[in-house]
Parts: sequence; structure tokens; C-alpha cells
Amino acid sequence: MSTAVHTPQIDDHVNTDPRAGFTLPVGPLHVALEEPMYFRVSVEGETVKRVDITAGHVHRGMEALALRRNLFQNIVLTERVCSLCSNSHPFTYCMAVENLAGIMVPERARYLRSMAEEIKRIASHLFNVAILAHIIGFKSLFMHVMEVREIMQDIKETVYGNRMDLAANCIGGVKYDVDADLLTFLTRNLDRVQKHVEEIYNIYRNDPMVRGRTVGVGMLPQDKALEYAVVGPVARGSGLAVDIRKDVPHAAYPRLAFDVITENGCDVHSRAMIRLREALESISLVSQCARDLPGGDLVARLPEIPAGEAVARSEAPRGELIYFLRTDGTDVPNRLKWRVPSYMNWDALGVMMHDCKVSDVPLIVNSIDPCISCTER
Amino acid sequence: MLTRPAQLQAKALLDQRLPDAAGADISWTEDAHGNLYGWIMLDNAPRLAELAPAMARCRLRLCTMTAYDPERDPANPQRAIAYHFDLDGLTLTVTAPLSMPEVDEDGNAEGKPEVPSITPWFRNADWNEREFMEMYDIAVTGHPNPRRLFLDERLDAGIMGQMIPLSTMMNGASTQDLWERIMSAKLPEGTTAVTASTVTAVTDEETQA
Repeated sequence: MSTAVHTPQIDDHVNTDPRAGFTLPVGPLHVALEEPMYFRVSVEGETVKRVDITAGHVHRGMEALALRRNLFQNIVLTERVCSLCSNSHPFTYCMAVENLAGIMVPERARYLRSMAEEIKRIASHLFNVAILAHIIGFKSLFMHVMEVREIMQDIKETVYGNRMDLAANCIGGVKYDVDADLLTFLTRNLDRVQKHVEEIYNIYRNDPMVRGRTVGVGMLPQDKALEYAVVGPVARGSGLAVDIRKDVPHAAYPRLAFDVITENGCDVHSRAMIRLREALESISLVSQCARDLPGGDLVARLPEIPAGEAVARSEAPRGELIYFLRTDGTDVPNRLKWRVPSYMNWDALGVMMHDCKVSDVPLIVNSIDPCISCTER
Repeated sequence: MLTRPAQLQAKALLDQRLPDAAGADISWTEDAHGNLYGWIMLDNAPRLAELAPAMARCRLRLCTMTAYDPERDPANPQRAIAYHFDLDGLTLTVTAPLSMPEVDEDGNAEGKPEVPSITPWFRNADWNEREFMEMYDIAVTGHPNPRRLFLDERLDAGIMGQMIPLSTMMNGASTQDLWERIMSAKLPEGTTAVTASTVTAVTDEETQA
């Protein structure tokens, strides 16, 4: 049995006449890609005509691993699917166990869960828009956004002890708490971040270099967005008001005030605007959680987990995350399946890249905020 | 907590439109926030071809599919597929049990369990079906693009049920037996390869001496 190795080949019919068709391999390792993925891009001159995606370079068999670990160990496992949306995974997984067993999470824990999720969302969205600046060559903007993101990383390290994997969730509640000092630290730094994000938003909204490279690029019309069932900022950037925090109320979201952010441009620029506006919305959500945080327990008393099946969903930074759990009365799952938001959005790249320029390929791929580790598990 | 009106309307629509096509009623559960979860258990997989168009007409959005072995008994492998849909925040799970092929006297299956593709009605079923084809060795009839998704073609299908050590997959480590055979092939004739067992035997002799 061999390892999965894919060596991209240039087609035999390669012709140096730029007017003829040419197949351009992008990846699996490429300077524009953070993770390995192979794109077989068919071009005519500089225009992309077709994209074939070959995935699997980061497949780790995590769903198979989950069947060899107990329900508690899988909290640790699921957090390691990916680091950018690392909180969403154990959060949703724990909700699936709680839905199956009828566990009522205490009120304080629900607020702390929403707080952790929104803190991750701000950092994740800032990372994505920073990479956009990097791809279009706006290096100073890239560095500036990453510097602002460092404030969020400092918040995570101070509150949770880690910059990426927060280890905030457990079955029935949360594993962390905040006191008055931490809340003061949190709100003071969120005020700093908010000022910077508002400035960054205006740059991305109005700067000619940003607009010139992103407006009208990577178009995904609303009807195609529905047909491909895309989720998250990709869907909302095409005018679809899909947000699991509103559609499937969970954690503290029913008690928090926020808008579902949509744009109608259907392009790379719209998706970037969605992420920046959502970052501002998330700052408000964290502030509300800090202000309204009730007292009480951090974790519920756990019953024995019965045999059964349950589904749970959350709105990860990239969109809808869904977990399906089957148990047989033992402490090891019969089946644990998760589908990440990026999984739904890859296929739509074929629409977004049609007739685009080769130089726009990394930009369009980045606009779906892909997480290959999540997709392939 | 009260269920959102949109989910209640969705429930009413599905209760009206789906049971006939499914040949089964929808059972309902609710979580702590009043979110609704519908569950349909089909009699057989081919029924999907009747139910899928009815679900598409209801504007259900396919979220994902889960292939699994309900019993996880290696002596008696089974297959089922759970299809998870969304309609205005309501989650519907349709489970299709698959018929397993006959097994010959050598224990080899004559064919693969089969399920019809629902890509004609749900375009985003493409990747989901390709994934369980390779992970659970299920044949999907009518799939428009039946290529491997994540696994290299040289790997066996149905690999989800096997546990392969990472070192073996990376061709980086060897078993004791393989080590001895390699070393024996390299050493001059009559020389014994030094292995843990050889060292232990020598140590025992020294100790006894």
C-alpha cells in the first residue's frame, strides 16, 4: 500500500503558441497557497477556461481516528482538525453530544462559548483579508492587518493560554472562566481593535488598488450560489442571508443583538467586505457577552450518554459547520462525521474562475477562505 | 425555548409533502433551544430516487452525507447512508440502509452495495458521494464524476475500516521481520544480523556465564 503522491504533469499537447490551450499546474505546493492543493487550470492565453481540483494531500483519516477514541478524547481530536477555526469544531461536537443526551448547558457557559467563538471569528477574518492584501502585492496593508490581528492573538493567549487552540469547550459547558480583570483587559483591547478595523474597512472599501484587483473578480451570481449550496461569507457575499447563528439558535446567540451581514456584489471584494463587517459585528457580540455575562455554573452535570444519534450546527468563520454523531451506549462513538464550510465552497470555484485571468487564481481561491485541513480531515 | 416560526412552517411543509415519497413518516426531536430535527428511515436505498425530487421541490438544502456501518461488526459488515438537509434552520436527516452483496464461499463479496446518486437534484452531492465511494466502497449509480476525491487510486477502496500505522503509510519504518530480511540480504553469508532478540540472547549467555 503506497502513500498518496500526486505528481502534476504538463499535458503532452503543450504548445508554445499562447493562443492555443495550455494546462497550468498550480500546486500542490505553491507560494500563493497556505496548504497543499492541486489545481489543474486549463487556459487559453491568460484566460482560465476550466479548473480541476485534486485534493487529499492533507487527509489524515481523522474520522477513523474518532472511532478509536472516547467521547472526551474526541474533544481534543476535533480541536486539531484545523487551527484557524479550531474552536468551532469542539464547540459543535460538544453540542452534538449535548443534543443527543439532552444536556442543558448552564447560561454562563453559553455566553462564554459565544465569546470564544466570536473572538476566533475576528482573528480568522482579519487573517483572510490580510492574505488578500498580500496576494495583490499591497504589502504594507498586509503587515498592518496582521499587526492588528496580533491584538486578537494576544487576547487569546491571555484569556485562553494559547494563540490558536483555545481548549475552551467541554461536554456540558466550558473549561475556562473570566474574572473582572480579564474582562477589563478584553474590552479595552477590543476598543483598540475596533478603531483599527474601521480604518482597515475604509481602505478595503475605497482604495483604488484594492478595488481594481477585486471588484468584478471571481463572480458567483446568487442563483449559482444557491445551486452550489455555498455557505458562510461566500453565500452572504452573493446576497444570501444564511447564518446559522440566526437560523439555528444556539449558545448565547438568541440573547445577543446582531445583524446578518450581506453584500450583493458577488465578487472577491464583496466577500472581503463581508468579513470586515462581520469582524466589527463580532466585536459588538463579544462586548455584549462581557457586559451581560450571568453568574452560575460553568458545566452541567453529565448523565450517561445513551445510544442514539444527533446533529448539531454552528456558524464557523467560514460558514456552516455540521456534526453528526451516533452512539451505541458505550463511551466510543459508533460514527462521528463532520462537514466543514469549505467543503461546500470548493466546487463553486469552477464558476468563480471561469474566464478569469491566471493572475486572479490565487485571489479567487483566497476569497472563499479555504481551509484544506478542515475539508480533507 | 420557543421554536422559530420559520422552522415550524418548514416542518408543516415537510410533513405534508415527504411521507408519501419516502414511504415513511417523519419523526421529530427538539434541542434545548427549540430547534427542530426531522428523521426519516427509508426501507431501501432505491427509494431515494423517488424522495430526492420531492425534497428538491421543498427547497431543502443538502448539508452533507454520512456513510457508516450501523453495527461495526467486521464479521458482518453493513452499510447505511444518512443524508442531512436544511430548510430555514430545520435539520432533516434521511437514512437509507443499503443491501449488502452476497458473499461467495471464499468470503469475497460479489459486487458492492449500491445507492443512486442524488446529484440530478442536489448538485453539491457530488463531493459527498465521491467521498463515501472511496471510504466505504459503496457504488453510486449515475454519478457524473466518479473519481477519487481524497485518496490515491492505488489505495484500496473501503479503507475507512482499516487502521494503518502512519510509519507504514510513510514507508519509513519496518517490522522486525522485514529488518532481519533486509540486513541478512546485505550481510556476508553466515553472518547474523544484530537484532533485539540477538542482543537479548547474548546478554542471557553472558549472565549465565
